[in-house]
Amino acid sequence: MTDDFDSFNIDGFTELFDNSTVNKFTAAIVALLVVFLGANTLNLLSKNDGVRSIVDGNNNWQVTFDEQIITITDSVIVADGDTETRMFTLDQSLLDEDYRFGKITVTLSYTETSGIPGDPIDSVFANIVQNDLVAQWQEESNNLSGSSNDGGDLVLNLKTYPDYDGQVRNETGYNAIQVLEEWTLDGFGMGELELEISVETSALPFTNDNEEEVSIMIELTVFKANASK
Amino acid sequence: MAQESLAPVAAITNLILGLITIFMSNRGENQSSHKRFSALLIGWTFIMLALYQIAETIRGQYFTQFSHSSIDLGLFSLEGNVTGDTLLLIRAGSQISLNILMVAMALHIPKDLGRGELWNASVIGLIGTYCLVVPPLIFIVGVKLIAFQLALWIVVGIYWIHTYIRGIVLEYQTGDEKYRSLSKSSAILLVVWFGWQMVWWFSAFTFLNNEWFVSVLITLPEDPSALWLFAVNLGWSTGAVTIMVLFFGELFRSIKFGASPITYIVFGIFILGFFNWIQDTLLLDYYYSCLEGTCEETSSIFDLVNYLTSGMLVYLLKPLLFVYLMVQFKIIDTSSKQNKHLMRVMILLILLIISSSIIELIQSLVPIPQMISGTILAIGVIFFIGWEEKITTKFMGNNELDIESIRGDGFSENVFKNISIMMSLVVVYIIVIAVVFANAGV
Repeated sequence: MTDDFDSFNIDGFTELFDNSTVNKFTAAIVALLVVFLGANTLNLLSKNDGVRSIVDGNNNWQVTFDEQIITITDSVIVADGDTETRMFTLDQSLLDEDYRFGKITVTLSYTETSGIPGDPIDSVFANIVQNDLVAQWQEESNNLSGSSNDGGDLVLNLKTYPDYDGQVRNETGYNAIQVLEEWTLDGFGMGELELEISVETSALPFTNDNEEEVSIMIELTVFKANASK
Repeated sequence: MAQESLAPVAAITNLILGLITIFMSNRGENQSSHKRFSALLIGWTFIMLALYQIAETIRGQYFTQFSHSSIDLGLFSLEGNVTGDTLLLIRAGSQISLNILMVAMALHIPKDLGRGELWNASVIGLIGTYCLVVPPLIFIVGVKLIAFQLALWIVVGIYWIHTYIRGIVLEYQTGDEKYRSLSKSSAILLVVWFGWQMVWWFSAFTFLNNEWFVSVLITLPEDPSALWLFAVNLGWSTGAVTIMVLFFGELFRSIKFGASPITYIVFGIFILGFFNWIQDTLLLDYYYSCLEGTCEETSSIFDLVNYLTSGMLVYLLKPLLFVYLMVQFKIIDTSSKQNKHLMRVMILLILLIISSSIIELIQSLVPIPQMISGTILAIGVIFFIGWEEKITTKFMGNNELDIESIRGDGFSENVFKNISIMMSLVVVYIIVIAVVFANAGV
């Protein structure tokens, strides 16, 4: 190539485009770049709108919960002065898709079953044993132990999902996924529910009332969260 | 963070590489003037990189650090501390200079697009004017404007993609291996300039980059303009489209003619795109948490991933590939004995930066004491010195086809002097205006 000190020679540009195959490839890539750039920018603009509406504080969502009750029943005969332990496995197989365990309610019921006329009602004591079951064990609203001496139902409950009360909530968020993030955590309520039941019988003199049958009904409140504007 | 400790090594390396390259360019009387000019461009690119990284290092030591993306996109603001603000503006100023040096490089490598005194004067004038006008303009009007420079990335990216495809297609059509030089040099330049954006290609195509950017948008006090958001996407889009072209190009070429070292680099970057996509996916919760007012803490593993991907490309691969480009394509004259010695210094420096990066990597993964890592580095250096001649010979090779591919001419001796004087003044100018604007608090 010769030196040319006095000119403005841009022949190199024309040489660049002397192959039609190359030009077609480049044109296709430029087209791809333009389309991709446009789509990406539109996506970012829409995300920015979402962000600005959050920043401006008018992106309110209402979170509602579809609830289902799953019932497990059992019964146990407890001898006077004894304590019986019952274990119930709570796992994913109990749940429909997108549902989570919200809370556990245990209802124990019994009547005087000795059949002896005038025999006084026995006393039943029960408690949910704290173990590895993933739940809100320190929640104040829990009722983990109780007793009954009048034949009335004994109700225990344990909150499994944090802050879940089934009530409609107003949340602020960028999109439904983010708003529901708090309500789609896995693992809560999973584990072994351990129930201890004790009985103290009350018998008339010269009668034999040394056990009681206790019916157990476990109601698992499960929920699916929905977000709507 | 490991990445912070790599910046000073890269800064010193780039500074020394820059000085050696400029020196060797001025001593290359036997070289074509076009190659000498190309060497000067690369030399001053090293100097600007060094200036950027020195400011980055000092600022990172004493003040809040801003990422590379923050500088590129104008996501920074002055904090009222003159020293810290000066360093920040030096980074911005040198980044602006690097952009125009990249454009000038595209006009000359792999092919001299123009010739003649007026053409050369225009190119030098363009560099000078841009460095003179754009930094203060951006500092006055608003640093967000800096993002619009990414338009240059698109233009240069498309141009090098075109020359890359041209090399691949012509090699396939004619069977002449000399065209590989065209595609190879274009690929190297694309990786050098846009490589650290390429590693996010899969996140860009799946719009996950935009999810990340949500955590940035939430910090902006004012609604950004649509034009700025468009500009933000220019860098990611260039990187994503470029790596796709390089990947399929290298795949096609390796099937037809076999793979080369640049093929493995491209494939490596392509695979990194998947890893970074996984990282982005895992960090979605973090991005959304920023919308709630406070971003969650992220695991240091993500910092490590960034260090291993874009960090390595910025600090390690850039100087390595520049030196490879200069040596392989004989942009600098290595025929004389004196220049050979300087070349050896350059290669040893590159080996040093590789060694320190690997040590950093080991230290990031396994918390070993610095005494041990320092010893390992010393052992590595000793080995490099011992094997220096063999490594240098292999690195330099003697590919006559590569040597002939970068052609062009028409620069007078005065041009070389003028450009060196001009770029020296640009460096001083960037520092001075940074001090002035930091003091003014603009």
